[in-house]
Amino acid sequence: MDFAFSDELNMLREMVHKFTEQEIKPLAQQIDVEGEIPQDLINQMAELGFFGICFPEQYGGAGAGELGYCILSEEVSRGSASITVLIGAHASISAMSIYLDGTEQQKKKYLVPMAQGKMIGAFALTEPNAGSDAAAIETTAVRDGNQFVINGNKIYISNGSIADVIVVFAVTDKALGAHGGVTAFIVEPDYPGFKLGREEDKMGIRGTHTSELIFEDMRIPAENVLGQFGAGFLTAMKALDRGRLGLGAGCLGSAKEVLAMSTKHAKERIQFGKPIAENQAIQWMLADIAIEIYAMESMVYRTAWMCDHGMRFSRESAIVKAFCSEKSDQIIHRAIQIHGGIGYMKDFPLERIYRDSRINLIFEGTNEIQRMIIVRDVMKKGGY
Amino acid sequence: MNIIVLLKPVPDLSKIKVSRSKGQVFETGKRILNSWDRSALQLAVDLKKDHGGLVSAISLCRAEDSDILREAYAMGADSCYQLTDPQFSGNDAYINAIVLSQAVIKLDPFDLILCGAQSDIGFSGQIGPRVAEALNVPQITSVVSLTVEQDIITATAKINDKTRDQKIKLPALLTLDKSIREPKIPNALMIMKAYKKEIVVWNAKDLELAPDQIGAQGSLIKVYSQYLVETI
Repeated sequence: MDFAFSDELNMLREMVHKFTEQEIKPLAQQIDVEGEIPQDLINQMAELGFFGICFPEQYGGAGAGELGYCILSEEVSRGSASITVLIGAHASISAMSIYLDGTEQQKKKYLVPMAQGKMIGAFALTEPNAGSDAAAIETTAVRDGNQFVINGNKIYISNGSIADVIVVFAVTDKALGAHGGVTAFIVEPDYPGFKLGREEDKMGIRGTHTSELIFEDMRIPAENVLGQFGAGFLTAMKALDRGRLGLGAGCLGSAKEVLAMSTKHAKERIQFGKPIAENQAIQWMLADIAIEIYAMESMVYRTAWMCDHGMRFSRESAIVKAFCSEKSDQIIHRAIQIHGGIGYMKDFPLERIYRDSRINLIFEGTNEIQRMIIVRDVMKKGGY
Repeated sequence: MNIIVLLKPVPDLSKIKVSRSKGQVFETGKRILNSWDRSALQLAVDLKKDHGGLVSAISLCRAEDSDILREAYAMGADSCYQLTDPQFSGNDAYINAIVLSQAVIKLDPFDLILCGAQSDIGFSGQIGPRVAEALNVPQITSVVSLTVEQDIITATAKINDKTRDQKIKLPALLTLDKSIREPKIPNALMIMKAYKKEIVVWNAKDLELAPDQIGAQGSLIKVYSQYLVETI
């Protein structure tokens, strides 16, 4: 067994780490307060290849695969979770859907500029009555000559109001249900009948745009059917497998960052005449965080390796998502405890990091849904 | 414009440990690219963008220091050459300049040689001038800005607090102040490609250097002992 990263992936990590330290961290609080990621920062990340890191060079990417994507997600998360979500919604599920199931023509038209960061992507599955129960979507698409007419609402769509390309899932045959009756479409926001709805005011990841999308007799060309007609649910699930893995990598980055912050604080904070790091209560908290980070790191990169080797990893990515989101949430909770009062203050990044982390237990499939995926596999195999 | 950049690996100063009791300095991490040479490389890549040509990077370093040449590829070098041989151990600056100039001679004709005016360690600033002398080409040292018009470079050099403008005809060698360029962070694709490209490795024999011309034997400086200076 060889668990070493390749030399190029190590250099890639150094590069993203350096960029995060120099460019993202100084802006993280501003991004949270102003609710916007500066366009200049987005342009810089596009230049560095962040938006297409996992895709092959022929599609405008860097060819770093899922391992490269997880490294990126981990490192940028040390700076700002809003950036992680911007890139995740774009690359990991939206552009990924086109990469996995798009035609060569669709890849040329959409994936290449998306990988280059010239077009931003969104992934529109969730609806008012279809969240965890994704198969219950009500948005419809009806064929009319060489067009489809789409009607419905999507909610909580990350990048929704800034996207140039949106992968939309709609019912094309209600009788067939999720498998056979749902189709994926590539939508551009300037198609007639496309409207932006409510922009959400969120607890965390406040630099991202989370929006409602409204389709009123929206007409799209038939050539924008993504993947096999009726197989949209499968496209969504394949993309979400990757999205959940990248999310876990982001949680790992946050956890490593707050461990570094907590260790520094524990060594510097003097109480009762000695650093609090000398107290066993603090030492055990730091040790527990390190134990959990080791487990998170192991499962994230093992699963990324499985993905890059063409193996099935749906169960593993559900495990990564549930475990890493819960552990990072607990780790940040503990980090605030180690910091005491300062950890609770808005002047200090932990308060933002704590708010940002909460969504990880909810989006890309709640952790309860992840457990359903995991146990379905356990039941089928009669064990692990 | 064909440009050659000379790159030196230096210890990562954030990973150095000093043992005062043993009177020794220990390197704990891998060696990294001298920051002055990184600025020189960025200038070379920028000049190539404006004037065309190729950028070749040469490093006289240990076999295990090849990552600095991978970084050169990631930043935009077209070809990289690693000069490595156990016999180079103990080279002084005079011999290092001889080895580097032998490599330059082996390459295609050049227009410009660039290197940092000094390194992050040592600060002697000898390599550039010595290579220029060995190759018998004109030089300007400690350049902070320059313009290129056909085969004439107009450069501003800064020595202490004074500046001096000079013109020089190519082919020439410039040693550069670190401020000449802020190195750009290489992009992901260039990094992924950097490790797929070939680094040409030349040893003493390839460079037609005899054992008595190199290493401690060929060097003009003999090191008898090293000690740590007391901090003030």
